[in-house]
Amino acid sequence: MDAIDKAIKRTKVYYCLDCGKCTSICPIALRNPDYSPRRIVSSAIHGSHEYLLKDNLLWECLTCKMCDERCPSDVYYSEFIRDVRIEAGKIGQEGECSHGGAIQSLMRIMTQPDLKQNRLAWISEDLKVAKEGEYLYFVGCLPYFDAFFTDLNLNTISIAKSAVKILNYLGIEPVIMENERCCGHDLLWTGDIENFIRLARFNLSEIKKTGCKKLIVSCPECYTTLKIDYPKYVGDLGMDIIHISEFLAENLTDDKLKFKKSKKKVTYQDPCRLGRYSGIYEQPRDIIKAIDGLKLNEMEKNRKNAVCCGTSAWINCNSVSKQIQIDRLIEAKSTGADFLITACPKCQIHFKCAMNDRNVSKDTKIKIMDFTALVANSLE
Amino acid sequence: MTKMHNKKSKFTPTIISFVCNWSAYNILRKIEFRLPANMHYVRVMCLGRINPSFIFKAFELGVDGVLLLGCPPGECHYNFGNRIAEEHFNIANNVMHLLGVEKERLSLIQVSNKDYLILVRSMKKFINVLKRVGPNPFKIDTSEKVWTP
Amino acid sequence: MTNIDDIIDREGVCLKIAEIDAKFRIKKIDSSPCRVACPAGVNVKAYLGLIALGKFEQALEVVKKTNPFPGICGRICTYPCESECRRSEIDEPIAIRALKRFIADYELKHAKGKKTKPIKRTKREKIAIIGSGPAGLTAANDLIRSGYSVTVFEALPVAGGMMTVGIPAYRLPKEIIQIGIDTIATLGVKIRTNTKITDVDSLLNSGYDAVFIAIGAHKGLKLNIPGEGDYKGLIDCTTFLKKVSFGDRNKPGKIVIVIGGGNSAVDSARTALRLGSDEVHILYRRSRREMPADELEINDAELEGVKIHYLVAPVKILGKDNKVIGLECIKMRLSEPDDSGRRKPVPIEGSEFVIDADIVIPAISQKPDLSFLPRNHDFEISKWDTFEVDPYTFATNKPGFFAGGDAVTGPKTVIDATAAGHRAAKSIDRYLSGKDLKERISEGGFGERELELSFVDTMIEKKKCVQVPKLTLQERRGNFNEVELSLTEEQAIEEAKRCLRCGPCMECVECRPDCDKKLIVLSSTGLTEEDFLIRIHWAPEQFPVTDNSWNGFLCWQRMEIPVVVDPVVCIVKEDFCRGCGRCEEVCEYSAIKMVKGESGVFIANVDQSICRGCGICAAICPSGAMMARHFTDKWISGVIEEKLKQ
Repeated sequence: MDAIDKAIKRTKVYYCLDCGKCTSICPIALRNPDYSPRRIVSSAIHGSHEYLLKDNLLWECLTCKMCDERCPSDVYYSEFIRDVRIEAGKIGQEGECSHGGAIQSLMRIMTQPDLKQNRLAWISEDLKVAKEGEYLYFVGCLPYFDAFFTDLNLNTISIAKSAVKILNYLGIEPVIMENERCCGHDLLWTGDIENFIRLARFNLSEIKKTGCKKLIVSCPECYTTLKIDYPKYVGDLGMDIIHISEFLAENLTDDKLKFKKSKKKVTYQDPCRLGRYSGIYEQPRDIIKAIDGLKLNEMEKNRKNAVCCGTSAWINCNSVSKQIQIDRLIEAKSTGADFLITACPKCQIHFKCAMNDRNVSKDTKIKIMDFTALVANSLE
Repeated sequence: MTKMHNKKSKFTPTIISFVCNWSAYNILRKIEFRLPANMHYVRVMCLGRINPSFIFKAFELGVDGVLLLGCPPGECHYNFGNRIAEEHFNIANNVMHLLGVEKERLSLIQVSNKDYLILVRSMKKFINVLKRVGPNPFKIDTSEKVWTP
Repeated sequence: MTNIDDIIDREGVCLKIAEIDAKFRIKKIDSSPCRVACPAGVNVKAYLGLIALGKFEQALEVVKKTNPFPGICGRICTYPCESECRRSEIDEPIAIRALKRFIADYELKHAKGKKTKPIKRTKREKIAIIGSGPAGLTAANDLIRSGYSVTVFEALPVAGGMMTVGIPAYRLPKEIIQIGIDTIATLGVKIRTNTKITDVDSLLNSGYDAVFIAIGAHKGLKLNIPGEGDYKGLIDCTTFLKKVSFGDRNKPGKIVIVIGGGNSAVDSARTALRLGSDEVHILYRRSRREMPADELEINDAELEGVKIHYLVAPVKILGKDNKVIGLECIKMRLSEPDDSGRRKPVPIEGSEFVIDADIVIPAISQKPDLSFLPRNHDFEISKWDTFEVDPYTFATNKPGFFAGGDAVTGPKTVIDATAAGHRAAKSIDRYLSGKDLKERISEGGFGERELELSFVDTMIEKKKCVQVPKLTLQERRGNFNEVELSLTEEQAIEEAKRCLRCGPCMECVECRPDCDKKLIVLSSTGLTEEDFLIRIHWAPEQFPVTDNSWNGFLCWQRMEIPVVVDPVVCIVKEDFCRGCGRCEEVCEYSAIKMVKGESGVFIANVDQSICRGCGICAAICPSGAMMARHFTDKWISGVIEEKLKQ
């Protein structure tokens, strides 16, 4: 039994009923008729594995898990794609890396244990952090995004600042690791399992060294990777991993959070890693609703049906991605909201990139704000 | 690491230079056989072609230094290439700073196609600085497999 | 991750850019100074490079192309190449001679039954060569390879000329000369020793179509001082060395005086010492700086115990009972430099003194021995008894007769004679095939070297020249064993690696057998000796472009064959284009326009007639849809990977 057969068995691909619901819902298949999850599944079951591994369409998948949600047979298509990509990576196949593969290179450089990063420059004096304590805050790649995407006016580091600000508001001084690395999410989902394991092992030991009991994460990708994939590949962190929205929702009931009044109308984009992967749909909404005066206009496709931001893991960003982004932005704009709120920095990057385009129509232009930043700004 | 430091005197840095076809390459092509053994160059039509990804790629593969050789302002064959090259250099520089890579490892040198001496001197200087900074400690040992399914 | 198979970048040998199908030239800037300095034009750089690669046999092949005596020149050449070597500007020149000797010795040690085969005669004409020295044998070697029948006449019982009878065995063992001669004899050259030609003109009548006179210069010049010829004990250096080389091991005398400052003077002195003489003196009328003998030879002579008197000239030979008993000498001083910058030795009056001696060996110079010519010969002869020849063709005033080597130039070196042999052979070939002799023989066309290169050399780590192993002084006493020894393989490779390779291409032509697809074409353009062209087959669907801007970038040197290459312009992978317009924004040539595609999404479109191929749009494209042709992301990262793999 080769690795693909194992993957077929593990991800229940052989349960496929050939119903085609996956293809009918897939945002890629809607716009690129060549691509079809059903066809990939049936070619994996019936066709040659060698051909499957060399298929360029393998890299088109957004791994957004939309199809998994619809599948009547519970086929884990996204995980199947991940396993097949790992096998394809072994024979030298890779997706078309956006930005010339720069971000993949950065992640691979980060696998080196001797690295001494200068990643804490954003901690200004008004933010209180501790050397040790109960809570650990995992920043992720935010400082790198700001340095690399200079043309998008990102300021993703404000997410980290906001998270610390919120925690401080709740009387918590989080520990922040100086030597934290990329969680490895993108390497894992592009088939570079070796370097993912290197990063994960490093992060695992660093996180354990801090001695904290609870790990707060603001990035949905880091969250799923740390919570779901680390135990699977390198071992359990041995602490509670909490997304900042979960943490806020807990504190909401205690009435610890007091918000300023606001008259804005917002709409919320469910990041796939937070929503479909982790089932966190309601917590962010509860908090948004708790902000006095803030009106949440839901998009037509929300929660389980929320459409992906068009690209994932920095590969195969193309005209289909652009169409997905434009369609989603138009959908957001049509709700009449002033702000599109998303919890994922990558959704922010991708949407901002799409809006930054030269020929983009006015219908798509909507201000984008991060969920954590929104909460921090609304605190009294 | 200690072993590396002991060997510092004998250390010859591995360098990748990205070279503009119209200026520095005109000099380098004449002297490529005199270049130290570990000094490699990649010729491109304009240094603006080199975006940060190639610089990261080189560092990922373990070079000790990356040298960008382009035209001085106003002498770019394409008029705007050196501006773009500087932008890319700045982005790469900022990211390398975040990563904690010494800033000496990345250098942009602007020479016109006749500045033979300037080029050679700055190359020598770069090599000497790298000798002082020491080998790149960020090279990944990819031969060791860490994953077993 | 990048598939590197389609990228070959053998630096210095050929440069192929992935995806380009082109025919272009191997980089070759200039000939190296060592090659220019060599009278025979031996391709020094190539064999040094091949030694550095450990390809010893191929290195020897390169030497043999222009010099049939690598073993001999590896020992006694006056190495003009080393004095031109630009490594000396950094530390010390490369030990070129020792390396040449090494490869010659390597062949002897590892002769794998590779025997030279006789050359098939393809031409009707017969050639006679008078004299079997380096000039005669080189010409014989060249001519037999061109298909002629060649006969060499030698008056002495052994072949080799001055190499055999003029150079003592401790510098050049007789076996080594014999190997060189045997190789040439195996090719089919008939060598007739003990055959003195008495009637040159009759040679042409007796079936030979051309005659090459290479008799050398064997007749010692007279001192022209009183007492010369009056006493026994005066022996000319050529006679002395000849006697010794024929096996005479008698002690010449207790005290020996050699007069002269050339290599033959030093040879005579060191030979006398080996034969057991108690004291050996060399008198030289100028100072050490002017002494023409090899520096290393002088050092060795002094080490072995030869006393050298500088600024001393002989005045009178003293004798008693018909035997030499001493030499009256006078001290000299050097005059102020004259107009030509030379400082003449001037006697210091009243400084006469006497050195006791029982043997005096004049070694001041030699001239050709013309006694073989009939008294009424009609050759043009100079006042130094040398043949007057055309400086380019080496033809004498009599048709069919050519002369070269020491017989024309007076005493010079083996490598000069070899060069003359080559030149004469070419000339004779032209004469016999009825071509115009006066049409100038190509000089090789070596250009001026690029002096500016030396700046970078300062980057090179300093490393001293290899020390050639030698016998100890005790081991040299009383025998004629070879003093200098061969390098080891490791030493040779290390030493060859010091070569700076002036002018990139080694001109070794090793690329040709290496090329699987037989794509390397050698052609001559007349300006340089060899041009190496690499041809990569091209696909017919690619359209020809004649614009020089890109042509010049690929083939920065002259190109005479039209090339079909895709121009360096940017192209769009439409599937990947997001239509973001960043390329349109950045391009200052306005070569890129965003065009609305079928699906309503904009797609970049490059106007290839405007695009100048800088590739900046490709650098800026976020999704990798824009590609600069030939300079794709894959190519650049592939080159990086490849270079770092080494």
